[in-house]
Amino acid sequence: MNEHKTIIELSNINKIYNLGNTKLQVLFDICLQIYEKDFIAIVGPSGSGKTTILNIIACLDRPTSGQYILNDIDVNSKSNDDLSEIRNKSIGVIFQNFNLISRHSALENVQMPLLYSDITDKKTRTRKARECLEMVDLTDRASHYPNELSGGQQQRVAIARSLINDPDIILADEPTGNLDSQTSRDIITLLKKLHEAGKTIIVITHNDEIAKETMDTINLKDGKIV
Amino acid sequence: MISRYLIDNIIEAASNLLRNKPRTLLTSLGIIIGISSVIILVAITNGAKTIIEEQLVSLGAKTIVLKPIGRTRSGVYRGMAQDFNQNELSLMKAMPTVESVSPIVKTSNQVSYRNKSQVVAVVGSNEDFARINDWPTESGDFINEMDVQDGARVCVLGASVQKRFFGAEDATSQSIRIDGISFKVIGTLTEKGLTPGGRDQDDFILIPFTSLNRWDYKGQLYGISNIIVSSTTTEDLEFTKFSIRKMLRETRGLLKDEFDNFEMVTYEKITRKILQTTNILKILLSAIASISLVVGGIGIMNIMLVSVTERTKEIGIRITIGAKSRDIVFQFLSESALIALFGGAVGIALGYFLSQLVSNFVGWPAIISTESIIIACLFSGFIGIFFGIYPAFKASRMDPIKAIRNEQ
Ligand SMILES: Nc1ncnc2c1ncn2[C@@H]1O[C@H](COP(=O)(O)OP(=O)(O)OP(=O)(O)O)[C@@H](O)[C@H]1O
Ligand SMILES: [Mg+2]
Repeated sequence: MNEHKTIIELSNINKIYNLGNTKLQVLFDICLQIYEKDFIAIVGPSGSGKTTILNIIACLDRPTSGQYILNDIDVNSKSNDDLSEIRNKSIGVIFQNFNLISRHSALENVQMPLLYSDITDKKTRTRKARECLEMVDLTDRASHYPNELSGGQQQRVAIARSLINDPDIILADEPTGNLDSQTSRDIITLLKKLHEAGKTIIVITHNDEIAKETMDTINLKDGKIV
Repeated sequence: MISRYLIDNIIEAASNLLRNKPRTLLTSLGIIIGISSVIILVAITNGAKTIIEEQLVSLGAKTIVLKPIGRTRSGVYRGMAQDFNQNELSLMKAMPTVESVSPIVKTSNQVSYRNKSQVVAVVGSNEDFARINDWPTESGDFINEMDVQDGARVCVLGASVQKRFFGAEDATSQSIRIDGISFKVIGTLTEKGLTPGGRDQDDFILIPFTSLNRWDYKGQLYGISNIIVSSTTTEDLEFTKFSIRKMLRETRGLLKDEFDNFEMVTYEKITRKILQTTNILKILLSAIASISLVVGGIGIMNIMLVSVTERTKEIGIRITIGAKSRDIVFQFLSESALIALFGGAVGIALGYFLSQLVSNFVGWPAIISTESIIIACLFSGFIGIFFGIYPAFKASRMDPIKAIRNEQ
């Protein structure tokens, strides 16, 4: 069914939050297989567990039980610092509210992941960051601060930042949720371009236009895939 | 590679601190006050210590007073008193750790000038007397080596004698008669005043001890009753004492089981006690000043905790894009260390200027050693890191998902 190799494999993933004396289960036995160069949309009503599952895939959160294999690595067995390194190198994350650091310029925000990588040469860092800004067509805003940029521009900076270490996987949690339809379309075009460039992309969305562009759609309801 | 990481962190920390200058300044204030007060107190007590040391030396911290007559331990006089002689004097003078040797021969003689005639204490000594007793002349000169060699009939008057015989007139270049023999007054001494016991220290005439012996018409030879020896340094005092004792026992042919027929008095014990006291004072004062450093450190910790809370979201973002716990720890430790080092540097500068001020005020020097500056730097760095550990650790332990949801 797919000629590519499996890159993400979730088996029987459960997530239970302990709320004092009650337990809240938000994911139920999730099994999911995603292949290299896939472009997947996750849709579902609010509170269905989309963000929770994406955070687990992003190695930002750990499931209560179940197994997660990423690039043949058993994620659960890794330490937090190992997960930081995995996020730094192989996963780019994009959020609805952009999550840029406001006291740093666009260029500085974009090159920040390099601060935690092996690339220590300042020139190389700047060059890479400029290349990424070029990919999102924002070279003229390199020295601007987040509060001097429009929402769409901020999201493009965030996308540039997610690309800086050339990760295999891009995860986006409602990347167009805060943007108008025209700007949303620009972001969608960008994601499409990244997919064509060979990235594996998973995007949570309420936006039908995005969902139309993807290869496959995962429907979540009450913590279950339907 | 490590150094690049270090530099990046420090630049980042510095630029972050510069963004909120008033806060940074206020945070480092505790360290500034702490370090400067330590610097001031150490400088001032060090200054006081050197002054005290100098005074002790001038009071005789490195002198030995030799007296004839030995005593047994129970205080009973034993044997004959034996005065010192010229030979012993020159042997002492030749010792390598001896700076100066001054004999003291005390007599009382009839002294007359014009129509005034009185019995006055006459002290025979040599050119070293002035130095050992730290006793400068008020006018004229002190007796010199030649005078002593020649047994010259010259004298120096104590301030009281000058006053009694000459009043307001300067005695220098006048002649007086001591037991009928004419002595030329070549100088007068500055006034030392009364001893605590009420004795007038200035009531004597000083002449070369050699001329005292020579003019004694009764044929009676005055022996040297006391010798004041000054050691080159306080450290050498013990050795000098040892050498003198050995020499005297040898020249006097004392047998092994015989007691010394001389005694040596030093002020070592008192000196050491006083210096110890100043040291204790220094430590005590620095300890008190260090309390403000600890308070300053707590201030840093407090502000760093606030800063961590304020930057929760930023920390979450950094962890999300790949920061490991050590990266976050290092980021915040760099900041707290920089605050403390900045405070330390300003504190040293402030301490330097204030101690000059205080020094002018109290009238003794402020001595700032490089040692105290280095210790101040290291200590403030230590405070910054120590009190930064907890906030930095707290930051590094954040759950990125929760942190990133945090809205400032
Ligand atoms: N830290 C938490 N503690 C307790 N419950 C949580 C926590 N985080 C999420 N939940 C719960 O888990 C459920 C799923 O949340 P999630 O954020 O994954 O939903 P979602 O599908 O992304 O919704 P939306 O479309 O509104 O973003 C919700 O019911 C939420 O209340
Ligand atoms: Mg969500």
